[in-house]
Amino acid sequence: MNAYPAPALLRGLPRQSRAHTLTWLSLRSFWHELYDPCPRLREHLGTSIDACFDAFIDAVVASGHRMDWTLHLELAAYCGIEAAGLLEEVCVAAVRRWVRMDCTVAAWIALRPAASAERVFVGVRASSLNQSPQVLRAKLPGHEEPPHGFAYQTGTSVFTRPGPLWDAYRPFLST
Amino acid sequence: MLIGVNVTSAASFRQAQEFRNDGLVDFYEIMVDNFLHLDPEAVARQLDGQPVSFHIMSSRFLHREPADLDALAKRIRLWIDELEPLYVSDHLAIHESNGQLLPELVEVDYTDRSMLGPVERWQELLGCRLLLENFPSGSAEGAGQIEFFEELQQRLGVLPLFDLSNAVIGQHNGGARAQDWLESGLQLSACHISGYRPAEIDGSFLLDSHDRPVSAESWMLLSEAHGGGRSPATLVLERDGPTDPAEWATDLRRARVP
Repeated sequence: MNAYPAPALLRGLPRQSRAHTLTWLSLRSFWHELYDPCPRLREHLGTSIDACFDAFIDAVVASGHRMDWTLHLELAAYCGIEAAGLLEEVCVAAVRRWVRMDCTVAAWIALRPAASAERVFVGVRASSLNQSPQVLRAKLPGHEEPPHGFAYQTGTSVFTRPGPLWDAYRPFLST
Repeated sequence: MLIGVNVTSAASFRQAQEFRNDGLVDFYEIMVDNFLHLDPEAVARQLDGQPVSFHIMSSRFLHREPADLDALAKRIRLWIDELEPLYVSDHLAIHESNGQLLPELVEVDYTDRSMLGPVERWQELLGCRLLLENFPSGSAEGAGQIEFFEELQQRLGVLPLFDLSNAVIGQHNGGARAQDWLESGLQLSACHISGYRPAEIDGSFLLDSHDRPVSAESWMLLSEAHGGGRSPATLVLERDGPTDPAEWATDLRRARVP
C-alpha cells in the first residue's frame, strides 16, 4: 500500500476488498488517536465529528504534514478552536503525543498557544523506568506572544529557557 | 527457556517487577526507544543485574536519514554497552508514506530485495546481531515473508524475532502457513506470543491487538515447536493497553509448561 490511508482513498476502494479493511483500520486508529484524549472537543463537534475527521485528515494529508506530535495543533487550527478549555485540551494532547513519539534525548517539551500566550503546557518524560510521564500546566507572565499559532521548546533538563529560544509552530491549515 | 514480558512504560515496568517478584518472569523486554532520554548507567543501577532484552519500535530504519539513523544508533549502543541485552530486535515494516508518518505499520513488499541494504546498515550501526520481528500479515502478499527472512539470515546473519501469534494471524489473513516457519531453516530462538482479536469492520480479519489471552492456536504452535525440538531460548508474553494482570499471569504460568 503506497498511498496514504486517507478518507478520500477509502471512498474509492471496493468495500469487500482487503485494501478497504486495512485502510479503514488505519483510519479508525487515527480517529482514536485524535479524539480519545479530547472529550470536550468531541462534545463540541457533536454529530459533525466524523465529517470533521474525514475532511481534516484529507486536508492534512494533502498538505504534506509530517503527522507527528503537532497533529492536534493542526486540528485546532482546522476547527478554528479559540476557547481556552478546548485549546488546553488539544495542547495537552499534543504534548502527550510528543512524549510518546519523540525518541531523542530531550526530557521535556513546553508548548504555548498564541491565543493564550501566558499559558504553557509542559510534557515531561519519565525520569526513571518506574516513573510515569507528566503534563504540567503553568503561567509564564511577560513572555512575548508567538505571532501565529503556537510556540514550543524542548530541553534535556527540567527548567524553561528564556523566551527568545521559543520555536514557532504555525499550522499548515491556518485560516 | 527464559520467560519475559514487554516493558513499554512505567506502568508496565512496575507490573513486570511484580511478576518477577512472584517468580513468573526471568527478564524484561524493554521497548528501548521509549526510554532513550534516560541515562543508561542510572537504568542499569535501577535494574541491578536483572536481565533485559531490547525491542525497538520507532527506528524507522528504512526511512530515516543516514545522519539521524547514525545518531539514534549511537544512543542505543550506549544502552547496549551498559545493559548487555539478551538480544536487540526491531520491526521490518513501512512507517511512512511520502514522508508522512502512518497511523499503523504497513507490511513491506518481500520481493523488494533493495531492503537488504538498509537492514545490513542498521545492523552494522547497532554493532550487534539484529533480530527482526515477523509481521502479522494482512493479505496473501505476506506469503513471501519466510523466504525473505531466510535470505536475511543467510546473507546478513539477521535472525527472526519469531512472533508465534503473528504467524497464526498471518496464516489466517492469507499469508504464510504458520507451521512453515517451524519447518524452515530459520533460527527461532527468540520468540514472542500474545493475544489477537477479530477486526470490528471484518470479523474474518485478525488484528495483532495484545489485549487478550494467548489463543489456543498460538499455544498449539508453541507446543509444536517444543515437540519438534525447536524450543525457543526466550519467550516474551506481550500485553499492551488495558491489561488484566491475572490473565497475564495465567498465560505466564502456562508458558512454563512445555
